[in-house]
Amino acid sequence: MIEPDGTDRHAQARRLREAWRQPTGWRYWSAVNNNVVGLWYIAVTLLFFIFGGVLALLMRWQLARPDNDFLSADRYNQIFTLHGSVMMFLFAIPIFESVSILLLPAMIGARELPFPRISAFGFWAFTIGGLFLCGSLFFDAAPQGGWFMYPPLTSRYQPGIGADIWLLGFSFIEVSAIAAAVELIVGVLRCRAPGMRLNLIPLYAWYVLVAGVMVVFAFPPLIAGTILLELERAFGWPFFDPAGGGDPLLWQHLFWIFGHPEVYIIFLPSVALIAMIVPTAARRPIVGYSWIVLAAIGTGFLSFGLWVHHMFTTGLPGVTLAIFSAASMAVAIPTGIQIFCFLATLLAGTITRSVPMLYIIGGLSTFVIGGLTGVMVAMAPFNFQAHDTYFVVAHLHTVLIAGAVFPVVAGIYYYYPLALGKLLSERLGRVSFWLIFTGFNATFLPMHLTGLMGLPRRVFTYPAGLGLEPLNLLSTAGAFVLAAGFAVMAWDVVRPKSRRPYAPRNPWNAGSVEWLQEIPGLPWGVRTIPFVDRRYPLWETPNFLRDYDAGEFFLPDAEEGRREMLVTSSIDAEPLQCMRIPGPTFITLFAAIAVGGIFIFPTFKMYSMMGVSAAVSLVVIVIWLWTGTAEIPEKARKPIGRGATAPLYLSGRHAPGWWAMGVTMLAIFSAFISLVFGYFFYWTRHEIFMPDDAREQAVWAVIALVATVAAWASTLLARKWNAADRAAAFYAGTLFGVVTAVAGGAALLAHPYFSDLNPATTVYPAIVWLLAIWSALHLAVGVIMLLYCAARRLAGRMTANYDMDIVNVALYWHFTMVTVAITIAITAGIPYLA
Amino acid sequence: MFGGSALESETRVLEALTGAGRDAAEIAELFWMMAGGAAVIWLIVTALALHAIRSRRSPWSERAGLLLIAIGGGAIPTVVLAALLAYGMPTLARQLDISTPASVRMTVVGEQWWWRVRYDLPDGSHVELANEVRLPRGRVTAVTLTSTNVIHSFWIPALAGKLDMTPGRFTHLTLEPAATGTYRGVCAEYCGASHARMAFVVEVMEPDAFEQWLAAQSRPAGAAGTAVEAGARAFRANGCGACHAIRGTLSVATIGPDLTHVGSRRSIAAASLANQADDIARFIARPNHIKPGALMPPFGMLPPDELITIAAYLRSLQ
Amino acid sequence: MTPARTRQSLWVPIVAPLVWSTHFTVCYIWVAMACGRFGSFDRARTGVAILTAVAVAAIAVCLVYGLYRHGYRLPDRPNDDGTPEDRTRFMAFTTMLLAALSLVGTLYVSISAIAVGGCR
Repeated sequence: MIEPDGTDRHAQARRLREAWRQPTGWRYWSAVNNNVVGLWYIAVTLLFFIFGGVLALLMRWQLARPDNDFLSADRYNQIFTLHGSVMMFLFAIPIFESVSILLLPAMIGARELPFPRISAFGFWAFTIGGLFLCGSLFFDAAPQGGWFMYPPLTSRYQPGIGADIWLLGFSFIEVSAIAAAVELIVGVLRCRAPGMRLNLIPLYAWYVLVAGVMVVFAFPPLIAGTILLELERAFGWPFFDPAGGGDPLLWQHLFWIFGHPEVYIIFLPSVALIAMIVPTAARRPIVGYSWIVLAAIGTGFLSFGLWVHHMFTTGLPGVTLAIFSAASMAVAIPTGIQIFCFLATLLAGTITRSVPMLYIIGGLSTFVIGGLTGVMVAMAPFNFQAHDTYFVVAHLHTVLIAGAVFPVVAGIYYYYPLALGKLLSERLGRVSFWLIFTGFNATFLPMHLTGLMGLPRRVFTYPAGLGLEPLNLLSTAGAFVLAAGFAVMAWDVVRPKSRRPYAPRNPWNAGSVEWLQEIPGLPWGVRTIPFVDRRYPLWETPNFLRDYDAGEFFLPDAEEGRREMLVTSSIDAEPLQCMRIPGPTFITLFAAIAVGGIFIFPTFKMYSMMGVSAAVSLVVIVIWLWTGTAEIPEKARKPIGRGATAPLYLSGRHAPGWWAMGVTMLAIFSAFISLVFGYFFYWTRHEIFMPDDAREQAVWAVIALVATVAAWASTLLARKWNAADRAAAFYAGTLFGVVTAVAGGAALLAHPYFSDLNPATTVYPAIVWLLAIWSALHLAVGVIMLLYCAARRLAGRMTANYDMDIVNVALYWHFTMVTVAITIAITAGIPYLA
Repeated sequence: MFGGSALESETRVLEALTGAGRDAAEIAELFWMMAGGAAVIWLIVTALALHAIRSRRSPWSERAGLLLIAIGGGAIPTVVLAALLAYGMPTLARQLDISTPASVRMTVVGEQWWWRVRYDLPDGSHVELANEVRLPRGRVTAVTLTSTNVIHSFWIPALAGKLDMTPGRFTHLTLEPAATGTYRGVCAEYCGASHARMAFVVEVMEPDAFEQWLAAQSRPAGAAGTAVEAGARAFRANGCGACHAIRGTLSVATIGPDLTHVGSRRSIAAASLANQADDIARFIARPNHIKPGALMPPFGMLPPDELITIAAYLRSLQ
Repeated sequence: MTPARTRQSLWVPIVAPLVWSTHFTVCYIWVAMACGRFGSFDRARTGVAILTAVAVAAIAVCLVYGLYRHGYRLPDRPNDDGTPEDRTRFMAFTTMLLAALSLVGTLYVSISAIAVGGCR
């Protein structure tokens, strides 16, 4: 097909296909493409879901009758701990991230996510960590502290390695979850198709943005808590031990500051799937787009003000309970608004019935029950009765299964043709729905009653004669019906379909961007990056599909044989850069293995191996960055189609890398703030918190502060001198920065060292040491980054114009400066206040 | 394996809603109000959803849809929830109010996996027992809760909401039972292997009967009668006194439950077994079998008849 | 469109929720201190009342600003054109809705803190 202007469309498509070709054979596993990694990720996540489900069936079998001895107490406690942990960390969060990795680029009309290798790294880290955790059950070494891991039970009363496996294993997985969140946030904000202004973003992307930001602020407090608990377990730093001035309640605060937003991190992306499916079923645009955006953002905020409602029975002051009760009520409002938006859309449309809609209506009507019981348990006085009983078990499963799993199943039925080219069976879909719906309600409705009868949660058995038998038997029967429903669905998903025809393109007649893709899909993601000026371009923009197929839109070609995508501005999606992204590699797998060692070896107290892993990780990551990032292009700009050109290199505040650095640092900073919260928590808890001589040795703190300021200033100057192409000044600035940073780190550690603080005695030395070590590590990483920049310039991979490395490092140093300053203000300044 | 619940109480259908105590009655009222409101809301929303997916109906206008969102999703929930808060917050304040003068004071300490119960008498002396709480009807009892090990939670569904027992902290609860009877109390916070077997018996008595009972409990154990003399000797000889106290004898240790009047209790082993000789013997032989992870060592090496004599002695401690 | 204007519009909608968060956090800390350190519910109540007045004023500004940018009218259309005008109206309306939600959240928190009537 040769156009009048001489363009050969077929040749273009061929080059593009070649650039995006998937590796084959054993190299298949080096793929980094979102549409391959996303599928692996979803598959592994669903396997963990099945594992967690089997654990649930074992528990229900044990609880089918009173005083059953099918499972021993220890075994049951391991199983309920793993069930909760697996479902939360290995299913609910990763299903959101994996589905988003697969679908988000298609929805925003992008070819890929901005950092494909990060997705692959996240996938491998998740898989390694998940197998490590689940495997522990088969060695009778699984954690048994509950998914909430409350100390002192988990600090001093469970000497086995189970708790360490939980703490370190899930930290590893949380790191990969944060990495994926960073990528999704940057994807939504900077990789949308040109023209897709803020008021046109697919609702799914809004939800992903909100949920991603929530991950960035919610996971770090748990990581901070995990560090505290692991330090107490491994080295006896008494953070949660009242005998050493610690307090078990601090863990509960940190855990639930993570734990409650987590519920909404799970729920929002599932609602996002509903928001994509409902307009298709109603054959009209969503009604109340702004209201849904309000609900997503509002829920994101409010959900951080609810955590104490998991602690209503700990004896906190009534006013505190009142405040958190009120915020818990308020969050019901945006949740209700979303439901009414979907109802209004359906009412204003003409309905096509389908299996996805069956799941959505069944899920919504059930979810409302969970939402209403949620309002009930948010009411503090009723919570005093319901807390930690089967009433709450019923509530949380209703919310999570009806609110998250049902929409995910609907999403699987809806998006299966887009991902794998075939439609799933309508008949099996109906069978599975009715089994799941009936089984679900038979399992969980009776639990409201057993809770009110006085049955606490997390019991491996219950006595006969209290009237609990029939309802528990019903729950068990229901659980197996529920499982049968999932089995039918699983069969439908995995059964061979090679003889079934491919689905037609856009089989549901949807209006949103992702359905312009070819079926079966091609590795390039989108043939051309479309210009989007409507919310439902397939319905509303004339000739949208024709122009797309004809390659009329952006980047229809891969002239240099490179994988390319567009970076656009965050508000109005104006093209800013043609970004080249890296292709297949095994380095992500190596990095996941090496970083995994840092988390897995200390479980077995193999600290030297942990050090080796850290060193290997450093080498692997440096190689990864050196070869795969900030590549200097052979030309400054290139045409991107439609008569426009864009630069091939973008540095500074509009670059995806700069955003990724910023968002990552926000996550690390919120972990640090959680530690600071711990300091003040202890301070307000205790009349006598710090030793009398805490003010001595403050000179070290002053030295540390001065040295850090110097290092920070040198970094900024180095950035400036590099931009001015003053090479000698740049190297001198970097070198001076390295020297002062090392001095600053040493002085930071000298401060508690010469104050004779022993962290294993009481909580004051422990928290002061921890803040100092945290800041010193910050400086150490800053040193490595400075050296990296110097080496990049020496090797000619960074120049005055192509200065992304030092610009991003400078951003890192801003956070370092703030962290060190806060640390010093607290460790050296607070003693002067007290 | 077990002879049913060790509690010979009448079965109440929904323990937490029986309202046998002031707090529980108030919460039950709140529950019924919220449950009724929830049922109405659920019916409306579900009816709307089912109507929405009917195929034969004319579509609403977008304007009507937006109005539905603003009123049904925004305005009405805002008003309803505000009303609920206005109603619920005073209830919360009353639940937490511990200023009412208490006629009985007690301290309960959570152990793994049993309850150390101590009545603090007005004269400053204490009466210690285990796994059983008796309360006078119509009077206020102030309970101080704490733990020396892991976190537990003290919950008597029929009387009041639960409150955690956290090491290093003291929490305060008042109980005001309205009806006599036997109730079940449980640990509501997961506390390790035998969490499920950490319960206790609550007996609400008429105030006179309660006073008599407490007076009896405060006396030391009587001398062992000749019939159980052998059991008392075996109790001493096997070192039971290294962990347990029987006031009035040489056994004064406080590691395990106080057994001074163990024979008078409604159940043994934290309401896991009935208080009868063969169950006691069974527990002494294999505590781990009843309560996985229990700290008490098994005495299964003792001859069965010696176990029975010890059990008979303990039964005699009325 | 200037970059400065772009930055502004990304942040404006979430000013009101940020006010809510700040109000919530400061109330939480203040109440803990007033009840814990000074043991005075009156102080707690007064503090919450003052904080609420400030927060409500700030949120009201956001609400009015959103209303103003939206042209003082309720949405008669879905603001779904790919034009700067529709984008601005969408942002303004979302600002307004978020301000309304933040207002409700703020009032809930302060009414509850005051209605509970004591530090216990």
